[in-house]
Amino acid sequence: MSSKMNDNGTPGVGRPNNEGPDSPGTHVNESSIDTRPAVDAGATTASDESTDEISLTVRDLCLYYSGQQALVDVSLNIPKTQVTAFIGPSGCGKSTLLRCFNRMNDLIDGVETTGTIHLDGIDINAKEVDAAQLRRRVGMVFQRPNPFPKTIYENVAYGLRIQGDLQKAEMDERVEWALHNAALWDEVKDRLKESALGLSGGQQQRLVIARAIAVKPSVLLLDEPASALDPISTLKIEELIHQLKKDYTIVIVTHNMQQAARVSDHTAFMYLGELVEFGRTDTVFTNPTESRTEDYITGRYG
Amino acid sequence: MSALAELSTLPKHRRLVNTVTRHAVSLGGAAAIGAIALIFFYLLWVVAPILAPASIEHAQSYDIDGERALLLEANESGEIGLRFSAAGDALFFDLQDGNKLSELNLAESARSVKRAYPGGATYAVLTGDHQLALFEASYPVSFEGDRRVVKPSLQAVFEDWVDLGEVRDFDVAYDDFEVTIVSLEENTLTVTHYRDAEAGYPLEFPRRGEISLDRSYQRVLLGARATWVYLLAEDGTVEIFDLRRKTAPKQIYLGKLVPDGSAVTALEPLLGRYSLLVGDDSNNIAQWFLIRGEFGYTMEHIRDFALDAPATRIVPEPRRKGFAAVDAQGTAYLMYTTSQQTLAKKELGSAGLVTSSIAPRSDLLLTSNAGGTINAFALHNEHPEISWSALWSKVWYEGYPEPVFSWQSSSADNDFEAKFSLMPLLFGTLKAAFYAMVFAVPIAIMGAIYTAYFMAPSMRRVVKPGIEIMAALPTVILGFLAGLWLAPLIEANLAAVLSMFVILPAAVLLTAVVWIRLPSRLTQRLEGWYGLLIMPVIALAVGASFWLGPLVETSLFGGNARAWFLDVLGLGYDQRNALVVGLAMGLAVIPHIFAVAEDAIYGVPTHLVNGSLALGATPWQTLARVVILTASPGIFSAVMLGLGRAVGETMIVLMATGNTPVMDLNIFQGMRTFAANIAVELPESEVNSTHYRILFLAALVLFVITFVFNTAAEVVRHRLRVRYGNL
Repeated sequence: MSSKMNDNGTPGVGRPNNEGPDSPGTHVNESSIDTRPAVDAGATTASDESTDEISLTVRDLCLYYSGQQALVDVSLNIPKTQVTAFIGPSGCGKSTLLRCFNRMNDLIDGVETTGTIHLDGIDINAKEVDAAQLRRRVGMVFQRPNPFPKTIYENVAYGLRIQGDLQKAEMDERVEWALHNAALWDEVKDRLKESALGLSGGQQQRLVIARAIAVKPSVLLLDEPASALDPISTLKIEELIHQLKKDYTIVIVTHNMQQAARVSDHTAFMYLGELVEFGRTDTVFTNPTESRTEDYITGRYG
Repeated sequence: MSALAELSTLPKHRRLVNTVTRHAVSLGGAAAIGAIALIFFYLLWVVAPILAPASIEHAQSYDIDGERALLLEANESGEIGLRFSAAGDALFFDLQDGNKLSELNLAESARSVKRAYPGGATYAVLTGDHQLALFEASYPVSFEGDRRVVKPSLQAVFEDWVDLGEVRDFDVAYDDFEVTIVSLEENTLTVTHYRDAEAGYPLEFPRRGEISLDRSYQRVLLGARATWVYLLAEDGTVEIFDLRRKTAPKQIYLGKLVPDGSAVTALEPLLGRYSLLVGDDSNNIAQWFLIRGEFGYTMEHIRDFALDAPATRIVPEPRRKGFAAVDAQGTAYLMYTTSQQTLAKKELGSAGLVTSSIAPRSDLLLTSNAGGTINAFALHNEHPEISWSALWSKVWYEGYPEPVFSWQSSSADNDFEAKFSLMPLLFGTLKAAFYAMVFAVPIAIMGAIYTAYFMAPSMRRVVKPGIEIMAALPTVILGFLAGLWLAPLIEANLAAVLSMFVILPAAVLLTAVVWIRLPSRLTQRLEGWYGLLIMPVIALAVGASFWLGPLVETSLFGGNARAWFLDVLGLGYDQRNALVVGLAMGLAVIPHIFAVAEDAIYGVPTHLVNGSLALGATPWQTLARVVILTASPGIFSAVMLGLGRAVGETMIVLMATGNTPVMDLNIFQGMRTFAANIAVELPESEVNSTHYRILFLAALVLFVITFVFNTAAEVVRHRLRVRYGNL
């Protein structure tokens, strides 16, 4: 998949006339929807990941909530432009780990971390790194759809407006492009000036995804993006993830193991704050090396 | 019990609780709505009689002895009539049945009888042989068994008659041991003045003033407090002499009261004798009064009343600024000057009226025709002072150089024109609310934003309830602190207080600049506690303002801030003013606005805040673009709630505004609000009087204002919530 990436890592592939990486209005190549990613047969773990380009590198990450340890020595490499799923029982720390990637944990009182996280080689916890700037490159979609009480257009344009460097025409193009890529354009193109709160839950979640990709992040964090949705909407979100991974590194936290199996290339199984197993999704699901993984996957606990 | 029965019926006690609860809740809701409706309808019920139409109804006819009446009067209670006749008799008669009660012969014959100014039951009788004397009627009440008996009597005020000589007309003022008689001869005006005129003794030591006239006049009429005299001719010419020096009348005005070619058909002074009512042959009655302008006195034409035919007789009311008029076709009108309206109309039928008068309580009109028949008409005219224009438009009140909005409901004077314009009160209410809101809204909302969004949770747990408890502070305490402590303090330190508006924000900003430069290890640890850290800065800034006050006053305001505002900006300074009220009432409404706004901001869902932050927005951007937007319905409610409080607030404005009903936007001037006005005046208002009902009307207006504000707020809030609040 990485071969499809443009050199500069920006999305915008699949347009026949090749206008350029930033050309708006690019629509997703439909033929790729059901294409399963080509995966190397061999088992991969965090330590021997070498064939893929790496987006996020986590080393010895420990996290404490008011002194209580929530993550224990987590190390893993998240490959670029692939889907990585975090699975595990409630309270295992998978969402906490996800929130480390865009420093959303900074907002919680009493959180302390040790260890490092590098995004494309840069330490995101470095003093010089501004959290707001980081979050611009690492987008996030939450469990519950959280559109702002604004129009559909303004929701998508929000991330651009706060940067404040786009002209109106560019903005229009970017909004349309984001909605296309979130597979929502056809449903909302006639009601862009209406309130986003009038959309259905599934549409709202795709709108939130459009909002996240409108600022062109390189990583997209999805925190149980479909858990509040009905099966049809869930399916649409999953199809969307398939398309988006061409251009974005996607990390998804899910409770739903079938979903993890369906959408992800790599799966990390976490348990009690520890990363138990990380590898190619096929391997983790069919031939896990750890017995705890197998127990969880087969439903003995969770 | 069968299985079906078990499923289909609730156990008895649960059913009972359900029913009782349901009814109790419905009853409570209905009672709340009912109570509000009841208040509204009670106010309306008290106000409604203002709108009741006036009427003139024929009540009685009396044929007593056929003598021609010169003057008719009724006593205070409307039970007894008094008729002076050309035969020189004074006759008291019962107004119920027309029976003679007593009769007294005053002279051989009477030429003219007039009420002596300023009123009361004193009459000047001029006999056929030019002798003048004053008589006073009295109506003592006694009880014979259980029966109430009034025994009227008429007595000469002074022991002797005064010889006026061959006069055309005369007028008499008797008040405060002073008698002023003006008499008009062919070309001479004579003023006879007695000082130290004591009832029961002879009138002695007259001082006379005489002035010869260039033209011939038919009537002479004393003006208010006998300080001037009008001379009137049939063609409408009026000449006015200043009588402040009784022996040396001085002409102050000469003019005409009707257009050229018209003639005066009736002319009487209005109560108080400031105004003249002039009926002319173009079916019009005009009100004129004397005002003192830059270039001396002028008679101003104030307003007109239209009739169907020329007025033949004008009858002023003895205690109000109203009058009755009768036209050439025998139609009677009830009119009122201040409210400029014709209240009632009635065909009197009997032609040839020779005299008529209105009883002291304005409930009876007595007329007498050439044949000596007396007719009594019942007048129902309770609230003539009120019309839409009297309440809400500029009105030209007596003695004012121009029409104004004015509220002055009472005075020590009996012949005072009540000024019932609600505009100064409405203005004062809105002004007080405006300045309170200017002070309160930014502080309350910014405080709410800070508390909800930035403050450390442990500090918020103390601060929020603390501010909310401030709402329980009795406003009477704030009021007297504002009136007795703050107002003099600000007056004495105006420059210091004004410089505080600059120094305080500057000090806070300076602290912020310093704060940014502090090492981040320190600032991070103190994050969320800025609110506490800024306190000493504020205290220092306030101290500095007072310390710098005298310096500022000398350097910027020329040593005296209040004088500077008056001289340079033309802003007068009252000790009790809108600044004081704004601060005090602002303090009273801050907790209300703060509490609701803080809840609204705190209630903005975290997932929206996180959604914004996750898109790379800074906390400030998130606050400005998401949090405040989402909380806007709540913030709006908070402001409207505060506005409602400020409009209805009574004790603070009562004690800190000075209660002067002026219409001046100047922040250094006081005002009078609806609520304070009701509180001040209702206790001293006569029940069911016009004043009383207008106070209720003011309450109704206040009620309607709050109702409209709240309803509008609710509608807007609902729209905002549909738009922004559906989370």
